[in-house]
Amino acid sequence: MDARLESHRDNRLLAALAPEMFELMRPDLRLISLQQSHELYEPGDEIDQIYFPQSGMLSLLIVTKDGRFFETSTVGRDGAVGLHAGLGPRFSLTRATVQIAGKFSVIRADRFASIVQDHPFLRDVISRYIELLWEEAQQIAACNAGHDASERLCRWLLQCADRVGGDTVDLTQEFLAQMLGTRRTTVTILAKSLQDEGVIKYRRGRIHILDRESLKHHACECYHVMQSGRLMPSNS
Amino acid sequence: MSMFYFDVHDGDKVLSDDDGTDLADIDAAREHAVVVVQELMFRRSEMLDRDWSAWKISILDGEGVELLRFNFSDVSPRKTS
Repeated sequence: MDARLESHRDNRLLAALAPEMFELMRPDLRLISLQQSHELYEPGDEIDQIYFPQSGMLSLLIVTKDGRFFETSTVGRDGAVGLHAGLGPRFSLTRATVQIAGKFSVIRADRFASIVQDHPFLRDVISRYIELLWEEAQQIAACNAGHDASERLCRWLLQCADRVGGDTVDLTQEFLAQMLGTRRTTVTILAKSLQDEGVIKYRRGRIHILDRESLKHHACECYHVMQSGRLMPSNS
Repeated sequence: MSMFYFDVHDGDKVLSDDDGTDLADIDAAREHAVVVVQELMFRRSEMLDRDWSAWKISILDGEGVELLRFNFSDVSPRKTS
């Protein structure tokens, strides 16, 4: 059980809290490691823990009756999953899974809710974050409806790299196809095209971004819109 | 079910499908290829700075034998609901 200050502060939400606010949470924060594909929540599950990624990435997916997955959001060190459970009992709307393995700071929802109750400032932090998520969800909805697979793939790769905090992302083509809502073959062709251009290197489920500027050029404007929307005051 | 491979090319460059997809038969493979082309050509034919309308898609079997080929421009856009 590691509750050293520094271990929790790669997460930008936690880092943005004033030290006295963070101290309120620190005794109840645990740092855990989670593997890829670990499931946090199914739709309808009560949110019993709040997850703050320090490394790695979480995905929130809608699963349709025919078994397809659609991205609604991804969360890395820039955010949290389940934060709104600080306002009271809440239930997950999506399937939340670990998309990229890593370390996560967790706090029990009931403990967090009781801290929030005593410190209204935290309620403001939560609602600002929810507003950001809402704006992002609107942008993703428009993007999924109107932008083509190549633009969305490039946006997606950039966002994953940002959220994981590096230029290497471990994601299979099958997963990318599910997230983009395309055939896996389409992802293969797009990835090969990007590789051919020297923008990425993609081998055995590991993507290395070689030319970020080109990737940004190929991404839809949603990348820039969503990036500028990440307005949580941050140390980094 | 057998493995089918979907290479795309423009007469000069080839982007080959190394992993393949397991499908019921050649008809399913043709349908799959049509959907892939529609996904690549969604809304516009220029993506990643390539003009895909000039490209072709080939369906190959596990031995690398080409079974079928057609032009991207032969595929009509997917109807969006």
